[in-house]
Amino acid sequence: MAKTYHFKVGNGDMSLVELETGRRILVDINIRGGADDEDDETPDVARQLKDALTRDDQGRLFVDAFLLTHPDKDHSSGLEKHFHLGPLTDWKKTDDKIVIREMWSSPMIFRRRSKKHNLCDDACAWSKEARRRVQLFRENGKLDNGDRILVLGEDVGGKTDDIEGILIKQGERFAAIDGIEEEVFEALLLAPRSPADDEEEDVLSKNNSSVILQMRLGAGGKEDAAYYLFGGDAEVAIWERLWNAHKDAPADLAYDVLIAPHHCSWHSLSWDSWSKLGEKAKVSDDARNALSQARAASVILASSCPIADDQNDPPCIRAKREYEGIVGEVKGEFKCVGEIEGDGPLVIEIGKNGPKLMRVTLAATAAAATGIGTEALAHG
Amino acid sequence: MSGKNEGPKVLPVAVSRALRQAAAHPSVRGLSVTYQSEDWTFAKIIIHTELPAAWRAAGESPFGVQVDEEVTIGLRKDFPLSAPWIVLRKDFPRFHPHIQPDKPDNAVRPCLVNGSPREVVQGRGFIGLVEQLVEWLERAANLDLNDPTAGWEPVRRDTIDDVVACDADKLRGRVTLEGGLEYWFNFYIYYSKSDTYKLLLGSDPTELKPYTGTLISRSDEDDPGGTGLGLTAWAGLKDGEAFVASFYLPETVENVGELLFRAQLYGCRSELEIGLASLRDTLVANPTTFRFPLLVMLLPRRPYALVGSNSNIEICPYLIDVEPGQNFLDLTTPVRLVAQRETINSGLLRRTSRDTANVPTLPWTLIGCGSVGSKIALHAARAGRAPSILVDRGYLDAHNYARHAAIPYGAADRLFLRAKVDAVQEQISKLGQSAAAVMKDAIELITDVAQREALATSDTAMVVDTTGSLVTREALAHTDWAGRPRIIEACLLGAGSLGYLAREGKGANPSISDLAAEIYRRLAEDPETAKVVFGAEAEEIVIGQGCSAATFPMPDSELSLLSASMAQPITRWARDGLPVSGETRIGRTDGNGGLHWSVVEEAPWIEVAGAGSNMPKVRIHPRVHAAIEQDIALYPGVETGGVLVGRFSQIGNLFQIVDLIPAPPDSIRSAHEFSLGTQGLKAAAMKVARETGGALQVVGTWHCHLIPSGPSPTDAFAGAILSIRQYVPALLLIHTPGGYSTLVAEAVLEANEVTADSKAEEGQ
Repeated sequence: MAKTYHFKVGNGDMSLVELETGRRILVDINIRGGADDEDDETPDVARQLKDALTRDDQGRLFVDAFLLTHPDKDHSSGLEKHFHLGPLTDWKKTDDKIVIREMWSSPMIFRRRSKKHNLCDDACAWSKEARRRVQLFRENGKLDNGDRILVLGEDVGGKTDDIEGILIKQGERFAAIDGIEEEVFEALLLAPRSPADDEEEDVLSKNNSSVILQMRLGAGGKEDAAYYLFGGDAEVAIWERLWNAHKDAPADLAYDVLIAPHHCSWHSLSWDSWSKLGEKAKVSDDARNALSQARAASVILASSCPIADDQNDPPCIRAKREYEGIVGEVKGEFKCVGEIEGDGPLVIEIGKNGPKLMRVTLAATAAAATGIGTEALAHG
Repeated sequence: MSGKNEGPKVLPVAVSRALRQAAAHPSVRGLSVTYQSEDWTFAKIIIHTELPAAWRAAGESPFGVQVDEEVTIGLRKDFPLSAPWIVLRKDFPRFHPHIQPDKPDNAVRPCLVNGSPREVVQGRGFIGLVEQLVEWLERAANLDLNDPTAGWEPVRRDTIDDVVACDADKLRGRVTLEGGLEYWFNFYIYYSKSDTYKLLLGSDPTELKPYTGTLISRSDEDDPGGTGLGLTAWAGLKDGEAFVASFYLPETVENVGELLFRAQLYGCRSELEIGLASLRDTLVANPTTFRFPLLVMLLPRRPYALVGSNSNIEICPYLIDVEPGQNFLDLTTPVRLVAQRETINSGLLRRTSRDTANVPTLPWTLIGCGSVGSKIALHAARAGRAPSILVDRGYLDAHNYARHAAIPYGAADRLFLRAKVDAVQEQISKLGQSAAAVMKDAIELITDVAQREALATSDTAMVVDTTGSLVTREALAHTDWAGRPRIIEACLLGAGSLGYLAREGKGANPSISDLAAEIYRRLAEDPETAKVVFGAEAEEIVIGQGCSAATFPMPDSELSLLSASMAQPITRWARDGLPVSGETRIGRTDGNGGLHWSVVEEAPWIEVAGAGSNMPKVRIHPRVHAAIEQDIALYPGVETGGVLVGRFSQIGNLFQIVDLIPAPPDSIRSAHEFSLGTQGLKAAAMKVARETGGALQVVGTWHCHLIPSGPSPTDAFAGAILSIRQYVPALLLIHTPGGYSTLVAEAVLEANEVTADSKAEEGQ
C-alpha cells in the first residue's frame, strides 16, 4: 500500500509521497510560523510530517527526496528551521533536523538574485544548499550520501551542460530515487523547459518556472496503480504550451490525483482576470485540456484555504467549478485540503484498485470535542 | 418504513439531539426524518464510504457497498434508555460477517459493537455509534469485517434450531493434518413444544462397534431425553498444505445434499460420507424404534484464529433428526442448524481470563483449604489453572463460611461438618476441572515417605502452603526429601492486615524457612508494621481453639483483596513454571480498600555444614555475608567480629542468620584474637528481640581468623560462656580466608540441675 499525505498549509503546497517500498518523496513545504507555535491554531504540520517519517540507523529523520517545484515562500517556508542543510557530518542530534537525501531542484538555483528574481530566506537557503551539492558533483564527478541532487530541467546558456550526470531534461523519465532504481515509481519531467534565450529567461516568472512532474506509483502488484500530477504554481501559458506539446500523447498528462496548480488559481486556466471579469472570464481550452486528462474516478486536490464564493484568487471559486466539471465527467471528486475537518493531513491510500481517500475519523474532528464527550466504558 | 407521519411534529429532545449529532459526522452526506409517531422516529441517513478509484468509478465496491449507502435509524421515544434500531437496505449483501441473524426477507441489521449499542451511545454519544456504522461500512466495502487482528468471525446463521454444548478447545485439539472423522455419543433433551434439541457432547470420542446402535436411547417423557450419536469430520492436506477454508460463506444448509456440498467446500466431504455410511450400517444392524438426534460437526480450518480464540478451527454443527428406519443419506433429508455453546472448561476459563498461552496447567498441590487457600484455589480454577491436589484435614465450621470460597448449598452442609477439601474439590469440579482431595494431616504426608505420593507426584511443579502453620512450613523446608518440589507460602500476617507470599529459589535456596526469617527482619524495620505483625494482638493464642492457625476477625472483602493478589502470581506459575530465583512479596491493606505490594527477589543463601552429623548447620543471608567481608576489609591484619542475629530452627536443627550487630566499641581487635566487648550489647540484643516479638534473636557471635583454621581453645571457652546465657544452642561462626567454620555449644541440663544459681546466671 502506497500513501500520499497532503498537509493543511493554507494557500501553499506540502505533500509527502510514500512508496510501497517505504521510500518517501516530499513535494514542497509551507511550515508557517504559526504551525510551530503550540498556542496558535495553525495545524502543526512539521510534527505531522515528522510523525510520518522514519529515522536512519544514526537516529536521523530523513526524506529520500525533496522536490521543490519553485522557490516561492508558500512552497519553501520552514526549510532552514526543520531541514538539515550542509554536509551530513554537521548534523546535530540536539537540532533533530530532517535530512534531505536527494534534492530535486529546478535550475532556478543558478539565477542570480535580482529585482525580478527576489527570493525569501528559505528559498535562498535551498539555492545555497543545491549549489553546494552541484559544486561537489562538478569537483568529484559523483555524490555521496546526503549530498545528492537532481536538477530538473536545463538552464539557459549551457549552464547545466557540465552536470549531465545529475540533470534530468524536459521530457525525460527517471525512476531512481537517491541513486536507487524503483520499480514502483517513475517520474516524467514535463516542465520547466529550457528558456530559448536570455530574454525568455527574464520573462519566465518563478511560477512559470515550476517543475511539473507526472509520477507513476505502483502498488498491490499493479505498476500503474496511480498517476499523480504536480504542477507547482505554473500558469495558463505553461499549460497551453504543455497541451500543444503533448496533445498527441495525452497519457503524459494523465492523472488519478492532480494537485490543482497554484492553489486552485484561475490563472492556471485562463488569461482573464477573475476579479475583474467575473463570470465573463474565459477558460483557455488548451490549458483546460492539459489539466483534464483525468483517469476514472480521479481526484483533484486544491491545496489552499477554504474556497469561498467570492472574488478571491487563489483559491478561486470559478477554478473550483471548472475542476469539478473535469472530475464530474469521470465520477471523480474535487477536494479542498483546507476544508477537510480536523488538523490532520488529507491522506490517500493507493492499492491495486487505485487511490482511495482516507476518511476523516470522528476522533480527528471538532465534533469529538464539542460537548458530546466520552465516558470510560466500565465492566461489571 | 412506510406509512404516514402521525403524532407530534416536535421530535423528542434526545432524538433531535442524536440526529443533529449524526448529521455532524464527516461521513454523513444527508439526513432526513422519514416517519414520526408517538413512540418512534425514523430517519434515513446517507453514509459516504471512501472507495478506491476503480470501485468509485463503478459506484460500489465488488462486495456490494455503495459509495453512498442509505441507512435507516429508528429511535424510540425513551431513547437513549433504549437502543437505536439501525438497518441497511433489504438487498444489502448478506454474505458479510457481523450481520445480525434474521430472516432473509427482513432488512439487514449490521452488528456494530461487541456489546450493547445503548452503552456506546451513553459512552461516546450517538455520533460515536454513527462512527461505528461508518467504520463497519468501510470494512464491509473491502470484505474486511473479518479482521485478522480481531479474529475470524464464525459463520453467521440466520436461524438456529438447536444447541450443543461441548468443550471447543478439546474438539479443536483433535483435528489433525491428515484429515479424519470421529464418532461421539451425545446426551440430549428434546423440547416438544418448541421443537428444540439441547445436546451435550460426550467427553471423549467413541469407536463405532457393531453394537453401538443399541446404546442409542430415548425416554418416554413429554420432553424426552437420551443418548444420541455424533460425528466430527475435518480436512487434511491439499497439494501438500493443510486445507484452509479461507472464504466466508453464510449458512444455507437445509438438507443432506447441501451438507455434503458444504463439507466439500471445507475439504472434508469424503470423511463425512464415510462416517455417515458407517453410522447408517450400524443402524441397519441395530434399528431403533424411536427418533434420535444425529449430530454432525464439520471442523473447517480458517486462515487465522477465530474471534476470542487462539485456534483457527471453526465448529459448524448440524443435526439430522433420524426417524426409525430412515435412510438419512438420502440427499433430501432435512438438516437442522445447531448453535455451539461452550461447556464450562479450563480452555474457556483461560481465554476469558486473558490467558492466551496455549499450554496445559502444571500439576500443583495446595496445602490448606481454609479461607486463604480456598480463595486462591478458586481464583486459579476460574482462570482454568486449578490445583491438582488439595490437602487439608479440617472441617468447615459455621464461622468458616464468613470467608471461605465455598457456599453451603443445603441443609446437610449447614447441620453437619463438611471436609474443607471436599468443599473446594466440588467447586473446582463444577468449573470443569479436577483435583484430588486428600483429607490428612500435611505434616504426616511430608514426613512419611510412603504417604508422600498423595502430597506431590514426581511432576508436581510446586506445593503451595496456605496453612499459616509454622510447623508445616518448617517440616516442608527441612524434611529430607529427595526431588522435593519447590514450596510457595501464602498466608496473612498481623491479624490479617498483611499478605505474605514467598517463593523458594531453585534447589530450595533460599528455602521457605530462610525466607520467613528474612521477612521477619524486614517487617521489623518499620515500627508500625512490626507492631501489627509482632504485637500482642497478633501473637495472642486463644486458649482452647486447638487449630494450627489462629483465626482473626476480619471481613471477607479484605481477606479476598489479599488472597486475590496472591492468586495472580500463583496462577501464572502454574502456567509458566517457577522462575529460578526466590522471591518475597508483602501486601499491605490500608483499611480503605487500598492495597500495596512490595516485591523483592531473593538471592541464594550460603550454607555452612555442621561440625558433626548432628550438629546444627548455619545458613547465612548473602547480605550478612557481604557485611562480614566488608568488616574484615575494614580491619586488615587483625581479627574482627560481631554479633549474629537470626533464628534457630528446632525442626531443621539449623541457624538462619539475617543480620549483624556491630562489635561494641570496647571490643579488642588484634592479630591473634578478637575480644568482643559488652558496651551497649545487651540493649542492642534486647531491641532485636523486642522489635520482632522474639522471632529474631541474638544467636551467637562471629569473628575472623587470618588463616584458614578451625575454632581455637579460646573460641571454645567463649562459646561455652555464651551457651549458658541462652536456651537454644549458641553459635560461634568463624570466617577464614578458606570459608566459614562453626562451633556450636549448648547448655543442656538434666532436670535436677536446674538450680536457683543457674537461673541467676541466665538472668544477668
